[in-house]
Amino acid sequence: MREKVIRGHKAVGGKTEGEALVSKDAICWLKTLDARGLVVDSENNLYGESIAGKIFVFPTGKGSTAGSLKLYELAIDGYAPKAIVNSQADSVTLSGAILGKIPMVHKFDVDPTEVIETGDKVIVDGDAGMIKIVKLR
Amino acid sequence: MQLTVEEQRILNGEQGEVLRQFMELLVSMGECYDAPRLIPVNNAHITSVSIAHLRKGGRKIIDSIINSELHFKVFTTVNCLATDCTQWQELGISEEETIKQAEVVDGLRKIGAIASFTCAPYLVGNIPRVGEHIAWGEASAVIYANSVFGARTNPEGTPSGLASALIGKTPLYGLHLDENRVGQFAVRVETKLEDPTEYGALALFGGATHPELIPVFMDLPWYINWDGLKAMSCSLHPTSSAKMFHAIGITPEARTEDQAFGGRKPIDTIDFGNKELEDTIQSLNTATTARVSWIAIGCPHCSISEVSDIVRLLNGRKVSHDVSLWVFTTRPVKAMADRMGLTEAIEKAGGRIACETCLELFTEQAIKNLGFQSQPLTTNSTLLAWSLPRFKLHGLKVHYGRLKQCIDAAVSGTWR
Repeated sequence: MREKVIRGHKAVGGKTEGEALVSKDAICWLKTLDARGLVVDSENNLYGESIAGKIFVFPTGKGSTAGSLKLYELAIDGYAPKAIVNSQADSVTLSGAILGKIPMVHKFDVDPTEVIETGDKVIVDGDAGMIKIVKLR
Repeated sequence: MQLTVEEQRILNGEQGEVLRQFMELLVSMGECYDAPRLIPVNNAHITSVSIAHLRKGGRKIIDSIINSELHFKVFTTVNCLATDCTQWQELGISEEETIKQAEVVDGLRKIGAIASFTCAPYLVGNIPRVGEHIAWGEASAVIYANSVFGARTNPEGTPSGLASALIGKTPLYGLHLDENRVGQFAVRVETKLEDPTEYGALALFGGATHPELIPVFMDLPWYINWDGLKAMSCSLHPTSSAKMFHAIGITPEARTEDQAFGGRKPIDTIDFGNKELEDTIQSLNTATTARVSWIAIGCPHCSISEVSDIVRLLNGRKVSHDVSLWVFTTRPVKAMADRMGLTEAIEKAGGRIACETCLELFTEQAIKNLGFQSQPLTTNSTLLAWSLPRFKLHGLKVHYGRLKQCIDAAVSGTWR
């Protein structure tokens, strides 16, 4: 078991931990995911996976500005990720995460989509803008 | 973040709990990006007022504004609806859903929204000036405002858009700052472009090449007008997270290459020739059968010049009896089309104009009710061709091409 701490910048405060799910591509909340948090974009590497309850790692947001409400609705319905880890937070994801009270960290000195692998355990400290990655494999 | 006395008072809840929450949202967003302060905005455009997107959470937010008797502080237009409330039955939506949508429209009226109901607010008079700080949602409109008008906005989701409309402020970060508006790579146009679909394919191709960088289009033809620029604005965001582009000699922050690239060298230069154009169009052309059943024109909403083009291309011919031709636009554009005889010409041919809505914003049930989901869609819209099969109607096949090709297909019932 190897552990690594990476430091970034607070986007949304709060502490949590869970299993990482890493998308290599930017996320369009409206179109990449369905109303239950399933990845429905067949071109995404997470096609068919559910983001619900995961530590969702992706570079940034793209596409529709309807994404803010979509993420908020996912949180209300219990399908939101536990936390969000971005290379660079976009304003659409950010306002949805603030409303949904989802801890979120971004702007690391390394690329989180490179250092975190799907299945890693990730401990998120949104307030400190810091995450700990635990490689279980 | 430095707040003024008045901003701090709102944040302390002195103007009520609802405004306090909206101020807290703006401050939290500002802090995420190390914004030094809030800046005044005098123009907002609110996204996601269609009931396809505005569900429990969204309704709760809108209702909280109405119940507090708050009113938009700035000029605020709003996006498309889930249906055209004057012909909802023809558009497949249920009476129950239409009533729900009408309730939202009524609520928006109470809080002072301009009844624009379009993804292209610039078609109905929301035209910000160069350098104006605004708070717009709707990705295609955000890109148009930043690129074509040279106004400054980050992409605002519904919550932060409402916050800015109610408070008249937005945090100073992102595309409000010069340094984040610099072009980063070049796309050299080496083929003749005329139809908006071709401009759409150009933007989709450019966006996919470097999905996180701001593209600078070089050698666009001098005659490109708002229809071409509108198609580009709507077609960049499916493949790119950039929320603006430059076009040398065309857009206001790109009078010269030096200005567009901020005095630096482009990171990359790619060519868009005839092969790239045809390959991009073919990549979205997924239908394997030639039979045409439903045609959608007007994503983003048609300008009056595009409605005129449709009538010119129909040239008095009738739409084939087994084809549905839908033209989507805004109500003010349709009012002009009515007076010009264009609506009558389209209806006489067997087509229909729908206002204030778009296929993207239809509820899934409405599309199922129309029985279209198993038939290929025919469209000139790069966004519809790209997105409908990926998210709303999985497996949907598409005929995608230039407007002339779509109108000829409407008449013959066959895609050629």
